[in-house]
Amino acid sequence: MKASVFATDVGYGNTKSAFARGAEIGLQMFPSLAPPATNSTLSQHGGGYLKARDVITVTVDGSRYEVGPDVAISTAYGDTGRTLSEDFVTTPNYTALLAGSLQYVGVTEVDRLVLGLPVHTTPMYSDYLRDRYTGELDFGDTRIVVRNVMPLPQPLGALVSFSQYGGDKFDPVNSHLIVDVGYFTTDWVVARGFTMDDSRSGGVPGGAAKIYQQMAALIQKSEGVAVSGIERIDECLRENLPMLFYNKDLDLRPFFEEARSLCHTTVKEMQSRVGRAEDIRSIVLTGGGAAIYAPFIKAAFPRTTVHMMESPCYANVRGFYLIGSAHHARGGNR
Amino acid sequence: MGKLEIKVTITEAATPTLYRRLAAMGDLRQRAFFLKQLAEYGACNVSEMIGMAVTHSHTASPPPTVSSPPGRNAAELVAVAIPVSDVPSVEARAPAPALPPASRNDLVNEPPVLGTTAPTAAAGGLSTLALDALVAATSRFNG
Repeated sequence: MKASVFATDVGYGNTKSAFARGAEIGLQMFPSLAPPATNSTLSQHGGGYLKARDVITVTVDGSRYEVGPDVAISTAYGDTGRTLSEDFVTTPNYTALLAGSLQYVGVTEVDRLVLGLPVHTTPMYSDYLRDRYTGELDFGDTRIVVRNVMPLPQPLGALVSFSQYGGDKFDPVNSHLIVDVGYFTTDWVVARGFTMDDSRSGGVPGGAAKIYQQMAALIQKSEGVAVSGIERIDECLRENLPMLFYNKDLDLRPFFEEARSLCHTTVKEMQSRVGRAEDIRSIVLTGGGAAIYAPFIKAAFPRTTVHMMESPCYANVRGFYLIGSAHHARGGNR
Repeated sequence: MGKLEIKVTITEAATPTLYRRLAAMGDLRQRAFFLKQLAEYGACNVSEMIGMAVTHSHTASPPPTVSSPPGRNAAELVAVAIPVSDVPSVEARAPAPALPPASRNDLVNEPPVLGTTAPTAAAGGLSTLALDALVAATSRFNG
C-alpha cells in the first residue's frame, strides 16, 4: 500500500504512528521493545488453547527482532530489547520498531515519512535519519520505498495537535510552552504560533523512566534483591496494581512518592532554559510521564495556566501527520 | 467512546456554497470527511459567528473513528481526538484570539484528493493562514 504521508514517533517508551486510513487518520501504538525473535512459537502447538501473541518479525542487518503489541515486557535475563540512550535512533532496535510500524499497516511505499526526535538530539540526528531511511529499505521479507524523510522535534507535533484540538486554548499570537515528558527524555518547546524559539527550547534525559529506575533502586535497597527491569514497575503504576516481587505483592506508592522528588532536577533545568514565563499564554503538558511531572511544573510556573492533553500518547504523532500533510499539500519538499 | 450518528441533508437552497463544494466531490468518504473537518473547525474557532455558544465540552467531542486495516484488530489501531483538559489554573486569562475564518482559497476549498490516502484532506482542518504558517515554521526541518 502506498502512503503519501506516514508519521512515526519511535519513542523510548512506545512507538506511535499516524497515517491515512480511508478518509480518517488511523493511529497505532505498540511498546518500543524489540527483543531478538524467538525461533519457535509454542502457541502454534497449543491446540487453540494458547493464544498466539500479536507480534511480527522484522529483519534488520541480518538479525531478526520481534515487535508488536504483545511483545514480552519481561524476559529471562532482563533483555527486553529496550534502548535508553541518546543514540537510540542509530540502533537496530530503532530500525526494527520503525519497520514494524510500517509493516503493521501494510505500507510498502511512502512519499513523506515524518519522524520524531528529542529536541536536544534533533540537530545531531536529523541528517542521519534522512540518510538512513530515504530510499529502498530492506527489512528481510519486506522492502519499503521512502522518498522523503522529515525529522521533527517531538513537542512540535504536540503543539500542532494542541492548535487543532485545543480550540480557543491555542493562542496563535502569543507563545506556548509545550512540555513532552517522555519515557527517557523530557523535551520542551517554546513556540509563538508554530515558530519554535530555539533559545528557550530544549530537552534533557529524565522522563518517566528516571523515576522508575529510582524506584527500582529503592526496592532493591528495601528488599535486598535487584529488580531486573523497570517495565513491570511502569505497568503496575499505570494500572494501579501491586507488583509481584518474589512472592510479595509490593505496594509501589511509597517508592513512587520517594522517587518522584527526582522530577525537581529536570524541571529546574527546563525552568532555567525557558526563563520568565510572562509572555507565555499557557503550558501544555503531554507525553506518557506528564502526570508524574505535572505538580512540579505547576510549582515552577505558578502564574501560568497549565493544560494537560488527555490523550498524550498520540499528540506528537498526530501533529507530525498534520505537518507532513501540510507540506505535502503545499508542494513536496518546500 | 462517544459516537453520534447523524443523517444530514444538504440542499442547494439552504446552504448553496456548502452544497456546491460537497457536490464537487465524487468520493462519499471524502465528502463526509470534509464535512466533519469543516464542522470541527467551526466548532473550535468560529462557532460564535453562527450564534452558537461554545463551551469546553467541545474539546471532549467524540473522536473520529478508524477502520482497522485488513488482518488487524481494532484494539491495536485507534483513532482519537486529542482533547485537552484544564489542570486547575492559578491565574485566569483573557480569551485567546480565535484563528481567522478560512478564506476562499483555503485548503478545504481546493479540489479534493481522492484515494485511500488523503493527506491533503487530512490537513483540511487548517485554514490557509495556519497551513502556510505551519509550512513556513517547519520548513527548516525539511532538509
